[in-house]
Amino acid sequence: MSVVVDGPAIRLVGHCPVEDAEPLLVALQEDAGRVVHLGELEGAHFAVVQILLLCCPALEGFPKDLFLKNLVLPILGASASEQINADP
Amino acid sequence: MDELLEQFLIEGRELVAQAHGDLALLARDPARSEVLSSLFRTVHTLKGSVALFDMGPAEHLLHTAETRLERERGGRTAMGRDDLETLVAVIDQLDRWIDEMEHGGALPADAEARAATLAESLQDDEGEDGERPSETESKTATSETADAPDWLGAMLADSRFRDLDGAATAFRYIPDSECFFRGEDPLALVAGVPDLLAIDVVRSAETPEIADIEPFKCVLGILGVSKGTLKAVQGAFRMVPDQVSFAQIARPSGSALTEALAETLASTSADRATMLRVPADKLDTLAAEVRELAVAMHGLEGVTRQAQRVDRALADELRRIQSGLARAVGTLAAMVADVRLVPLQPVLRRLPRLARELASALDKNVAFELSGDGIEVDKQIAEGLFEPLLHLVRNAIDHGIEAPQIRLRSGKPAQGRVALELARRGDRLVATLVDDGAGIDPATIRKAAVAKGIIAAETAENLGERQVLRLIFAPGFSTSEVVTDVSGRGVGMDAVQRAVERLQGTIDIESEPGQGTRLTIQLPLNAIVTRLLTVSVAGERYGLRMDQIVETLRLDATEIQTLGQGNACIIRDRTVPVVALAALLGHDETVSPVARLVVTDAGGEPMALRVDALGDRLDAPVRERSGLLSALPAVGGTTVHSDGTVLLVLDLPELLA
Repeated sequence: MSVVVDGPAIRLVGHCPVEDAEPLLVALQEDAGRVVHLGELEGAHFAVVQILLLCCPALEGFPKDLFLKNLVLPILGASASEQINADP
Repeated sequence: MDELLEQFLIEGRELVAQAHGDLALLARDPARSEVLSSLFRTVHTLKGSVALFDMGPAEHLLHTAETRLERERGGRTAMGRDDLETLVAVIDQLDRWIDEMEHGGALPADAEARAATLAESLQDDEGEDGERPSETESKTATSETADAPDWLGAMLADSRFRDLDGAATAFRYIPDSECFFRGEDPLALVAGVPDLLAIDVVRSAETPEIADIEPFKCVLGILGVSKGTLKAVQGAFRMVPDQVSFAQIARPSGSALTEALAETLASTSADRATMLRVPADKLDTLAAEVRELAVAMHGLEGVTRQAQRVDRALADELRRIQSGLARAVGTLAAMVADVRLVPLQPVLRRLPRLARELASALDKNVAFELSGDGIEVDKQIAEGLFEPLLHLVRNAIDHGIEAPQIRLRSGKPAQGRVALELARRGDRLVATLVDDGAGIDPATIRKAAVAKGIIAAETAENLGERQVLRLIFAPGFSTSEVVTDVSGRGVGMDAVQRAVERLQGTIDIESEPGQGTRLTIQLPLNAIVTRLLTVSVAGERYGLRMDQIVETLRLDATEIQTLGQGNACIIRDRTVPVVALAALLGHDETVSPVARLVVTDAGGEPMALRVDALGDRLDAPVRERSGLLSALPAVGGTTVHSDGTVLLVLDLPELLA
């Protein structure tokens, strides 16, 4: 399991595949105040990133993966810039 | 070859196979909406892929097919058998064009005309609505960029995208909400965009509350800006062209800092690739090295046995080391074998098309069904399987299925059926080809075999029905009274049997006159290690492949009787010819009161080979014969015995032919 729930903390470890979206969501639904630690994160499916974007938990640490760190991390926590219209 | 084109050749063919699979399902049940949707998506993706190349007629044709399918999905028209057949023809045409792109890098001169004819058949029922893509579709990748789309202004006004030096192409990717279920990862696709500068997400109009979030429903889109060209960025999204819009950004060139950032990002994008396409020869080399390792391991076994006689403690230590090594080599061999497994689908994808073309050339009405082609087998098996299967399918259509009027006269439907089913049974692949054609009459075969001098009339009379049928695998046998262009001359069923045996497989035939024929090919799923039995003949040791051996036995030499010009013995009430292996190999025969026999049916009939001694059994890697050995007809390959000596592995079918 790459989603490790440890009391008030959730650690994302290694590569988080699509299946991890569910346990991550459940952990955040149980306690929205949990802090998600990204320091051991090496890769994540968009489904997992989407949970972080929708639930907006407090984040800590920097992902090891440069794409996540440089391009994805800046948008995590920030509010989305626009809304999808019915037809792009 | 252009890397993008190379990718297209692989993915385009996968999509063609997928489309054919969907069409086959629709032929059985035209009302299956999920199959229709899958076909629609596949055609749409194909259209996006061909748009990246100079394949205008293909794009036009696929657009027409897509429009037709869209109407079908909307329930506005009903799809009949003719529609399905036209769609099959469209996908077949695309398949041929992909071949043309591979060989000549361009579509043939008649592409436009062919596309127009097929598009017309698709539009026949639609009246005035069959439009060309440029007139209706503003969302396609290429036309999108003509004018700056609405979203671009708002996007570039955002601080995240403002003032990015060198920004050349923007994209807006709104993944389909079900995309996670199809195994897609939008973020991985975005990470594959070359020279990516920045990204952001867009939310759908109804962002769910935390309690209502569905974890596997994609509700976010991704915006991004890259320094790459439009074509390069489109290339990254070639599998999902319908979900992405693109726009070119006119900007002055960038600063050194941004360029450095882009370089870093490009390298991280490359690092993120989770799938590797490895050249096949590298895998072959890896497999060969693992075989060498297994051979070296085998050598250690012999040394351990020798050590046992000299120093038991040393032998124990050696055995301990050897068993550790054996485990590691076993694991490694299994892993390499696993990596070498490839699905049969890409190899067999041409069969349905070739079957249709053949039936049409012969004026026959044939439904060809292919199932189980998702099974994975060793690369060597996959590569070697196409030719024999193609030959069998050709035979079934050419010689098996009767002309429609003949079928009707004998109370059969005008359309003949040829079905190829692939299944996994234990560690074997079983390919079954069934047709409902004329079947094979043993009397005809018997007569033909005698007439061609393949067997004597007397022998023919004594053969059972099954043995008679197997005569069609004898070299030089062809039962058709009319030799057609299709099945050709010279390459008969014997070639099929040889090809199957080269893959360590067996072929079996059953047939009922008037009802049809069933051919069953059994092959190993994995062919790296071969089970061998060693035998001694005239002071030499040889390896025989266990899958070619029915049984081994010892008999009193007096039980072998002279029969005609040869020898024979009775095994379980059955007369089996006996041949000295020494004589076959050009050695002098030795005489012994006890006859040691290896019974094989590798030559098509049971035959007992007399050997001087039966040796041990081993699992050993057999190397294809090469160099000087390739001149020796009866040698199938070599392996190294545990004592380090080279063992010649005999090719029994060739030896007995």
